[in-house]
Amino acid sequence: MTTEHQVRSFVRRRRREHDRRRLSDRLIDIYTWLLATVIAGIVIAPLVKGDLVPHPDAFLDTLGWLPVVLFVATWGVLRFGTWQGPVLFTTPELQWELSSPLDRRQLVLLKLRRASVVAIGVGVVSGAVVGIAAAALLHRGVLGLSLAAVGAFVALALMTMALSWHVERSPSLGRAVDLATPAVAALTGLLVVAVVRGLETATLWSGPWGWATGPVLAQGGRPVAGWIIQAILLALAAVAAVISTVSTADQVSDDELWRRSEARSSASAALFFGNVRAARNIARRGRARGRVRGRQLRMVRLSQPLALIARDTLTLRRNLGLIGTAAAYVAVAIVSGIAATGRPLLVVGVFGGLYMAASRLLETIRLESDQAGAHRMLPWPWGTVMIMHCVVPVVVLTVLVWIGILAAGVGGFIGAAAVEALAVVAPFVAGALVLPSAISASRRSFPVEMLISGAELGALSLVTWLITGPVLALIALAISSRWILSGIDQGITMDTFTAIAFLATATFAFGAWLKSRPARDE
Amino acid sequence: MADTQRPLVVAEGLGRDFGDVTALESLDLEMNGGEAVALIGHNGSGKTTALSMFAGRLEPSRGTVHIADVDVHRRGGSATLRALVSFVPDAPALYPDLTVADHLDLVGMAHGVDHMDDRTGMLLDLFGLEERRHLLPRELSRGLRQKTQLACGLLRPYEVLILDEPVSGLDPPSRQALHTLLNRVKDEGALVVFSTHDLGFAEGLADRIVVVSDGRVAVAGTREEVVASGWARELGLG
Repeated sequence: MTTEHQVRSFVRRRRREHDRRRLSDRLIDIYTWLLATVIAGIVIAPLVKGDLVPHPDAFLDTLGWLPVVLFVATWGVLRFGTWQGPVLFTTPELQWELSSPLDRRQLVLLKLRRASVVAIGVGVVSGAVVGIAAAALLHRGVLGLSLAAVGAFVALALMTMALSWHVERSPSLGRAVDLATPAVAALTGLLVVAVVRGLETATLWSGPWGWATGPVLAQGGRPVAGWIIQAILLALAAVAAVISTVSTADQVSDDELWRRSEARSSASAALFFGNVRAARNIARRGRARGRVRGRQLRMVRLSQPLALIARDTLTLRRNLGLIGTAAAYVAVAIVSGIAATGRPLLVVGVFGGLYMAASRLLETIRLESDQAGAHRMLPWPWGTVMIMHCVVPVVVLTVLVWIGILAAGVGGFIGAAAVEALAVVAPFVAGALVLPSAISASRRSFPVEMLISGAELGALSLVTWLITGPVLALIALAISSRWILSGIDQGITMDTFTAIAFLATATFAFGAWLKSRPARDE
Repeated sequence: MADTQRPLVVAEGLGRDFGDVTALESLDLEMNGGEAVALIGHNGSGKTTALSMFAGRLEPSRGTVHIADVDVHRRGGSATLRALVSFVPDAPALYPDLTVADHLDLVGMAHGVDHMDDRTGMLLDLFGLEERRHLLPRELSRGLRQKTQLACGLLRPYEVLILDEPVSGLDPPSRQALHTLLNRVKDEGALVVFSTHDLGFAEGLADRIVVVSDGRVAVAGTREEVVASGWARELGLG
């Protein structure tokens, strides 16, 4: 009887035979890796010389953040397990190998072995970087620090890989990981607070991420009580986790493997074409397990010119999270604005918060752009459709800003006259933010081939592709803020109307540009 | 091949939800070795979902499927069961870097097929793939990829052959050749279950026609029984 190894080696052999890559392609690959290594060496060399940090203790404090970083990384890998995971079969492998009488456990173990090698590689490289850098900066023995960091990171990586496998094979664990996200975000916040307040014992004993940090800090010269116990605990956890993967290698349904395989091929294709948004949506769909919230909500029947307003309202009602996120961004903007007196840097928070809020509310434009040609179902040209999609976001953003201003007024942070002036100008600010943001949102993802074919011009295109919307909005807001803020404590003045006139003109100009842009499929 | 008297496949209360959408409500069906069963119905009626669950590729939300008295959805599956069931989905799943011949070699090897050269040659000839045996999937048309997939599915040994839309994308001669081959498979005692929108193909091959509507079996029986039920007119049958 043919074994799993014989089948795999047959596939590998035939693949090599049909691999049409030329020797020069392989040499280019090797050259690229060598070049990257040399550049990394040049960057790391000053660190190794110990020139960058004059006070070694400062670097030890920096290492104190490792539990937070490792915790977030661990969680990221578990989240990855909810839609992909360490065992990924291609659809042909599922169709022809897993459906055969070959020992499925062995086939899964082959994948787990490969995932373990990747985990060990990640652990070795990251551990070596941390160990060598720490040794250089702290003027301590490179061997002890590197061994501690490599050992700890490898153990943590293996444990995380194993846990991710359990998330992959168990739908109930996958759902638990999905549901735990807010709790994990809160826990991350607590860890950050603990690090800021210097509660090192709490962070180092908060879990495997802390256990992985203890030995590194101890080798770096900081007294860490029980670091040997931490190292032992981490090693035991890693061994137990790896053993559990071996014993559960056949405990996965075809359903899960097919779903992940299909998601992977779609996401890979999206990423190959540089469509990050599509890849993100595929990952989100993979996690959502087919559930669509608010399906029972129906579109309000409005007259023909208002059809898109009904459609956009429905999307926002079904995705209340978009309004929630936009509200959070508006809150950031308002708080930054209040605190900006004497701290000019916080103005970035005002602009960034408002722009991000506008951007969040433009989901339907992105959906429209994702489906090239779908707009042809509508009786209006593309440009008009884009403008129509801006109406609801402008209204919602205005309302959110009004609520924010009112709350700030009620809280006594801004005077009644200022509330009045800001409330009057708010709809025009919203327009001047939403329209430029719509210009960005109506574009598809940046065509990566432009970077390759267009050389420097390609890179320039990437920059303009990304910043056109924010820059237009920034210009409009920066100029109008002069009139908005002058005499704001006196309420509505001539300057308020000047600001309104300017913002309205800018919005009209942005709208004209948006309307003139060609559709994605043209 | 299987004993033609006992039900080879038994589906009881089989259903599947995708989130809050019910693709298959409840399906009860018994199928025997040596017969051909056609699942027909409108788009979205639940045919592919049912076939995927018969093949163990999709977990049921409720109900069970037993093939040769083995629970198809037992965790981790069973090598014995996998040896019994050959499933050919409608979307080709081929290795991009293996040729047509490589695919047949791989499947033959993975299933320990005897007299592989003879069987491979017969299938390549049947589907007109002989001269294209050294082509990669990207060099094949959609129909030729479908033929390659069908050849792989038919090469391996099985007692239950599950085909999802086997004739979509096939030219008339290949359709006829497949029809003849499946009749032979059936005569040898295997169960052939397939879904199709090609009612002529279904009528010519199937001993029983199962009409699936809104995730349930609307009617199941011979062509005459389906015609008598009134569903034939609904589906444009006969």
